[in-house]
Amino acid sequence: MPKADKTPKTPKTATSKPIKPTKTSELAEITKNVIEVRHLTKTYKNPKTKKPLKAVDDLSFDVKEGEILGLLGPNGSGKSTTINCLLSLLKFDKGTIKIFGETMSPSAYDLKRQIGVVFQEVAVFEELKVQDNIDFFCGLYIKDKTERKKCVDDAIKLVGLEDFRKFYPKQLSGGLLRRLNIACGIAHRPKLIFLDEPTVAVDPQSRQHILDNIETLRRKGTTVVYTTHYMEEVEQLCDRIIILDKGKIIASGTNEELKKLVKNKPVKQVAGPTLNDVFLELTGKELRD
Amino acid sequence: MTVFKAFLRILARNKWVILMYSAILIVFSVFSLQANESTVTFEAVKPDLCIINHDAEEGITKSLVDYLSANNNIIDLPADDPDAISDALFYRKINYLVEIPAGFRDDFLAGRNPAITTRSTGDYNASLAEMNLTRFLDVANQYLATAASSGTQTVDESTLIKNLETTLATEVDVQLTSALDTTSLDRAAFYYNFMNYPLLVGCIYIVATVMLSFRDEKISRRIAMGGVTPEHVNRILLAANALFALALWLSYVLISFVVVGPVMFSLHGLWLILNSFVFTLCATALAFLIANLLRSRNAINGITNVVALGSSFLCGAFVPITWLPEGVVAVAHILPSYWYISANDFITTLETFTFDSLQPVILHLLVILAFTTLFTVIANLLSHRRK
Amino acid sequence: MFWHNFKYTLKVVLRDHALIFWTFAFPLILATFFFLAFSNITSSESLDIIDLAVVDNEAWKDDQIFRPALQELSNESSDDQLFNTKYVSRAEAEQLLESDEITAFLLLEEPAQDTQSPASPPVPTIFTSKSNIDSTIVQSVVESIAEQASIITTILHENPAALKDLAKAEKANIVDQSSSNLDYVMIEYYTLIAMICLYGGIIGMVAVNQLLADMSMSGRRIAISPARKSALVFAALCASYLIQLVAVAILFLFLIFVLHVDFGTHLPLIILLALIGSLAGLALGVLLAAAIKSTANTKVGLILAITMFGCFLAGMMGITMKYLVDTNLPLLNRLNPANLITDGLYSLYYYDTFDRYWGNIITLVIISLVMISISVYSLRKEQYDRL
Repeated sequence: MPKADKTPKTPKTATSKPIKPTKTSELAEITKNVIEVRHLTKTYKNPKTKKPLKAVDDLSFDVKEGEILGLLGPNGSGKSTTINCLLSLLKFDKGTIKIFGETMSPSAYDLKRQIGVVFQEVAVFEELKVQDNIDFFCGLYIKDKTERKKCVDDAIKLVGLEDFRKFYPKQLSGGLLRRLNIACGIAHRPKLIFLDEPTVAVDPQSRQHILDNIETLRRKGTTVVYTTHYMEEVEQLCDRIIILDKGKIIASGTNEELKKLVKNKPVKQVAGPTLNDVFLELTGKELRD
Repeated sequence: MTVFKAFLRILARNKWVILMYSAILIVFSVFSLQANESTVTFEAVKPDLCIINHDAEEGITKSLVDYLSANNNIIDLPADDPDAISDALFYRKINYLVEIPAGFRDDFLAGRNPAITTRSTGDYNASLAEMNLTRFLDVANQYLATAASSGTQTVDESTLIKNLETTLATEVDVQLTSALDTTSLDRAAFYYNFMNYPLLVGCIYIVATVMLSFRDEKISRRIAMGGVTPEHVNRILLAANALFALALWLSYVLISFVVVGPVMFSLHGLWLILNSFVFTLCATALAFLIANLLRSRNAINGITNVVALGSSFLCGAFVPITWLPEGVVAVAHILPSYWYISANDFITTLETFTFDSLQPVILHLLVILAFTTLFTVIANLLSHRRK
Repeated sequence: MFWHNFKYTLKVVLRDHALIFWTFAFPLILATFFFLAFSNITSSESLDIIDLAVVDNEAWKDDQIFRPALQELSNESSDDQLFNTKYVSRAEAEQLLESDEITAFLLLEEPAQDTQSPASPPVPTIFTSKSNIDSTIVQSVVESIAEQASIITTILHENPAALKDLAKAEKANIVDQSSSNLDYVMIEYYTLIAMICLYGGIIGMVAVNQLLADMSMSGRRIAISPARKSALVFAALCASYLIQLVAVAILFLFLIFVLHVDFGTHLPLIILLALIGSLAGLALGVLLAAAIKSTANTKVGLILAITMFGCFLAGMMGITMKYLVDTNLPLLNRLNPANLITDGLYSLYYYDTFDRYWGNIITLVIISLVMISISVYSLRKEQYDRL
């Protein structure tokens, strides 16, 4: 992965957005936390054995403003449960969750207005066209029609669905559907976005496009919590990484910090392009479909 | 074996729908097939009649009330509740209402021919009840007319009543040429005809649901990858569906033994069961055909009900064939349900079970089998074309 | 927010083909089935001409009592024609009876000759295959003819001079006060109205399902948005109700103008009943959406089955069912929304007072409110134990 991308980025406007640092421990100097989780615990009762199952076990972590946090872990490690708790969809047993400094709850409407989610499962209406889908969901956040129209158009442009405005979800391929899914989740220009495995079963062109989109969002100052199983994406995008297992954090830190934890594997020098690079070079970065 | 297990699981998930439609059959049969005594000698039908008598029950009035009571089924209704009376007429609980005015006896004997008010449902039974009433009044008037001219000032009521009752006791012998227990047989026909509806619903709904689930692209591809040929899967599904249809049929037959009664143990019962078995095969084949025509699961409920209700209404499952308009009956011939129901009606009127007398029944069965073959062939064609 | 969701609910619902079928097409299809099946019923209730045969033997040829009377009753150009009579040999008569071409045949026989008594009239015997209304009517008619002979004999015996006064006898004075609105097939159409009101609930159910986080993914998106769930649900319900009312209106127009179904004269009250009935359907749909955790398809199947069962109890597959439930299990039908709507329409058609109508309306409103309250309580949940 070309590391050249990770140069300090100049802010687009002269206003509040801070300069994005490189992936060093200078991150720690930024004190504004978008998300603060303390001692989060959620227990399920196993329906068959009736034994309690700790899905999330005394979890505490922060997400800093403007960073892309990678949330990793094997299946069943508690990633989705954590996210659903953060979104106030799930009840949890113990702990506190603060977003933008306020306690998160189902009725924290101002907080919700600034959050966007892209679920792993496609969450759109089969009966509405692409444009209508995005307009509907955006309309839950933005009441003003003119502003909403602009947001919808920007979202469509961002994900590259201009040619598909009048299509129904059934007529879209997997990659396009995922992009629609993303558009619905971010059209209202949220400051905090949760992306739950957004590139599953997506062709490399679409995938690259999605990753570029996320980069764009980060440039605009959006905070991103990113879940995936694809390590290359993590390496490309994430400023910090948290690894969960059995509901607990087993490691957290930057890419380099985590790599140092592995003692015995030799450091592989990747001398040339990766397979991904080859694919894109040969087939072109333009989006298909 | 997993194909079969998947089938069972889909079945289990849809059990409430099947149970609900079966409940309709059960409730229907329990409620409306009330046990009646059946006879083998002629018994005159007695209309259901209600008498509201505002006069004293003496003399000619008493004679009238006694006569009506002897020839009709008297149903008591509260005289001061017009709604209850209206209801009873509307729902055919009574066919005829007779209201005897106050002073009827005196007025009649004085020759004023007082009016009797009636309310009628206008059906056959009501016509019979009216005939009874008319008879009494006509004969009474005739005796009155001749008694008045005997020269006395007042009419001799007791003689009049005596003559009246003697005349009205005239009986004409009616011989029953058939020894059939028609009440029970009619009940059996009713049940098996009505069975058309839940049988069709059950078969079509389950077969369509199962086939469409398996035909779901992702699943069928997964099956194809699993080393099991699609033909094998289809064969197991066919067997599973047929097994379900048979189980459904058998349950309904067993219920009929309980609800219809001992007549099911006769040859009539046997032929009814055979007829319903053949029809079940046809229903299953029809279900497969429909499953091959459907594209989405959303349509299953719709098609099931249209086909089941349509053929039930048009072929005589709810309304007896004899009451259907001719045009409808003519069109109904293209539906297998018509042949099934028509065969049921025929079976229950059979006196003997010889090859000759059974010929029409056998013909009906052959027609149903022909439908079965046709449906199966088309279903297979469609399924091959899809591949 | 309201109009935003209102508009999109309309779009989503109107594009759901299965939904549109159930609310718009299916009732019209069923109405047509009803029309086809029932158009002949009430006319076949009234007395038809009965097929009869008479054994054309010596006794018959010589007879002066039965023969003229029966010929008069078989006169095709007469308004009072009761019989369609064939004059055949005994063997032919038996054949006709067995093949069900005639209801009965009459055999006149000379009575056993008693040298001491004067010539007695011939003895009639009726032969029939079933104890049913038709054969009873035949018996009744033949008996009244025999009675006339008996009257003449009696008068001759008692007071021969009075014989000439027989002609002066008055005819039975019967005043028919039957209600003209007795077409009981109407109930079937009323159950159809009830059905469409309740099926309309499917719309509300589907619309609300989309808004719930534990029922659909779009619901999850909505749950994390700042939109108030109550506002969204309210908008969805208003849109659903509007579509329901349009569907009911279309059905009414179809029934009144195309099938010429008579609803009586109280149109505003009928409209009110339709509005409340649709509300009950909506409440039912929302209740199922909110309180039952299952796939959308299963819930649709459940509403369909529950409604069908309710309509069955209200008389859709045979009016007797409604009467049986009303008399034996009245509480069941007092709580059955399908019956409340059906019964409300029936009471408007048939009664002059409105007590029963208002009773039905009030019960419907209460049931709707109860269902809505339960739904609101379930819908208030904003966080879940598991997703």
